[in-house]
Formats: sequence, structure tokens, C-alpha cells
Amino acid sequence: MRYACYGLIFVAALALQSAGPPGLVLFGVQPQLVLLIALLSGMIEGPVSGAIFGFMGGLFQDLLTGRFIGLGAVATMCAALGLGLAGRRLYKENLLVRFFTILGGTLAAQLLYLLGKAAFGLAIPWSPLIWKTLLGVGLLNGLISIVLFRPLMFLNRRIIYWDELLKRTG
Amino acid sequence: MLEQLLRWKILLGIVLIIVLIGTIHYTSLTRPKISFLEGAWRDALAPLQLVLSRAQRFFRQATSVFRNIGDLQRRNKELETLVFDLQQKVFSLQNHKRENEWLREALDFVSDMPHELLVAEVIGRSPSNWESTITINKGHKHGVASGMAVITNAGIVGTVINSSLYTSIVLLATDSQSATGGLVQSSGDLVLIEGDPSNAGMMIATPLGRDTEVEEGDLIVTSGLSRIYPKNISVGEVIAVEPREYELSFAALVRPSVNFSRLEYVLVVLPDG
Repeated sequence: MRYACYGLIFVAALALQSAGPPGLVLFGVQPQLVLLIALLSGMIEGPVSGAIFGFMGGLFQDLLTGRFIGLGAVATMCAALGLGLAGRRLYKENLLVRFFTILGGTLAAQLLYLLGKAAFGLAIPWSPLIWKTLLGVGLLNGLISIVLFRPLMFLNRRIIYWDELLKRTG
Repeated sequence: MLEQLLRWKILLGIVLIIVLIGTIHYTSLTRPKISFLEGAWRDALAPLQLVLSRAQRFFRQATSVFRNIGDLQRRNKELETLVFDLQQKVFSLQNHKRENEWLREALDFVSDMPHELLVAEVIGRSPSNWESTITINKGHKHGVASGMAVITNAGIVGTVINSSLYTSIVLLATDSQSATGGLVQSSGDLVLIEGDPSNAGMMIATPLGRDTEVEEGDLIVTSGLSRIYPKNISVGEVIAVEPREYELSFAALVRPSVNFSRLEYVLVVLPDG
């Protein structure tokens, strides 16, 4: 039930992220909603759930892109796992902490993805444009996380409640 | 018992890692055919993408009328003048066409067969910032296959890299992985057009011959040599020419003729016959 609900959230995020063109473009970059939800789930639910949801969301996106299938899943999983582990020591209620944690997580996942692509033989031109895009996506995801954290936390609580209810009532 | 279970878990982990590395490696190369799972996933997501793309387009159009009313009036006047100029050109071109047909007949030339075009709606774009691709709502079922050219009335858009039953992914001409044969319209010199990795949405033209001449303002069209794009389709306009190392060669920065951020419908060039 929990996984199905998160699956639906990822599908909605992916459809929104890939609709267009120009689609959802803010300040010249495309926010990575699937990655953002995976990172937030790691922050809210802890490292294990974060890793599972990260892998699931990343794989959904990889299957749609059709290239380097599994790489995005691994990159998102690692970032969500890292954020889940770091989240235990951080005060998540603080806006700035949340912003910088998501910024760091987004940068790590995107950088890992690019390094993975380079490792599998794709020439990555490490031009200023790449760094600008990386930072742009990180900042944008950080900003969106400020708005999205509470609704996702509320939704997560409801999902857990329904899950428990379903288990008890059969 | 616990040791045995742990051993199995380790073994399973290793197998999963090998499968994952194998999948990433296999899918890192351009594949003309995609797996059933990818196709089904893409086709399942397509209706949702279509609805969201149309909703976004509707919202943009609805708000743009109010935002650009002054601009629209000015543009209308400009277009009226342009229509008059173009009408004059059409009369002149019709004369040239007739003359061309007479000459072709006289020289026994085989005229170029017109290509069959398929109209497709753009329903999505790459979810990642690192690839320039779009998704169209036509796939295998409509005769679209990998390697086919995609154009608009303004110019080239890209090539189909793979198709599912109902959708296809098009690699845009501005992607750094894309390469197209081009021709400088003024001089007839051949150039190679690639996506510029340093300037988002721009292309780079590099000369194929030693004496190639390119100047700012030159129009680049398809050469037709690659057999992907039909000949003489607009690629873009040269906006800057930069010398390369030791000034032995140059690279021309090309602004595409097509506005990729406003693509709604495209034409897939189907093979003759």
C-alpha cells in the first residue's frame, strides 16, 4: 500500500516533470521533482525507505528516458540514503537546514549521475553551463522543498495510517 | 542457518550489482529498439503527459493574449508588410519554378520525389536536464521508426532515436550527441552541424572542407547527403564565427530556425515508398 501510494506520487511527479515543452522550467532549469520527492522521503522516513523510494523513482525516470537505465536509480538511491542518514542528526524543522540539505542532496545525485555517464563512456563536456545547471537545479529543488516538505509529511502520515488500517482490517 | 542466509544475501547482492552494471552498459548505447517494459511504461505515461502538455499550452495561450496585446498589434503591422513582400517573391519563384521544370525536362533530370510527412503532437520532453529530447505521440503503429527525420515548417527538429507502439523519442538537433550534414546557402560549402555543449539551445557548424567560407548572417540548410533529412531544409542562422586553435579552422555558432521551447506539432519524414 505504502509503496503503491509512493509509486503514484512518483508517476504524477514524472508526468509533470516531463510534460512540455517548455514544461515546468524555472529560472532556465527544469526542477527534478522525482529526485526531490525521493530526497524528502529519505528525510522524513529514514535511510532505508529513502533508498527504496529513491531507487523506485530513479528507475521510473530511467525507463522513460531510455538511456543508462539503472544509473539514475542508483544515483537517486545513494543521495536519498545519504540524506536519510544525515537527517537523523539534523534539525529538519528548520527551513535553512532543509534548504541546504536538499541542495546538497540534489547536487550529489546529479553529479553522481554525470560521473556515472562518464564512467560508461559518454564524453561529458565539463563546461560552465554544466556547473550552472547543476547549481540551478540544486537551488530550485531546495526552494521547492521548503513548500513541499509539510504537505509531503502530512501525506506520508496519512499513507502510514491507511496502511495500518488496511493491515488491521485485512 | 544465519551464516547461510547471509551468504545467500551477499551472493544475491553481487548478482544484482552485475545485472545493474550490465543494464546500464547495454542501455548506454543508442538502441534502435527498446524493450517491452520501456515501451509499455512510455505508452502508459503518454496520456498523462498529453493532458498535462495540453493544459500547460492552454494556460500559456490564455495568459499570453493579455500580456502581449501591444506586441500583437505591432507584430500584425510587421506581418502585413511581410505578406506583401512574400507575395511578390512567390510570383517571382513561380516563374523560376516553371523555368526550372523546362530546363530539367530539357536536360532529362529526375526530379526529387516529395517525401511523405506524418503530423505528430509533442507530448513531452526529457525529464532530465542533461538530454535534449522530446516525445511525440506517434510510434511503430503509425510507421515511425528509429533514424527518421523530424522537421517543422521552420526547419529541422531532430531524429527519431527509438519508438514504442504509440510514442517516439526525438533527439533534438541541439543535443551535443546530434550531428547533421549542412550546407552554407550562400557559398554551397559543406559543414557539420552539432549541438553546442557550452551554449544551451545553440548549434556549432564546423567546416568539412579546407576553403569553406562562413560569415555572420549566413543561412545553413541541410545538405541531403546523410539521407536522413531531405535537402534544403533550414537548420539555422550563423550568429558568430570563432577561430579554433592556431586559427587553422573555425567554428560557427548557429541559432536554430526552430524555437524548441515552443514546439507543439512536428512532421516526421517517412521514407519514400
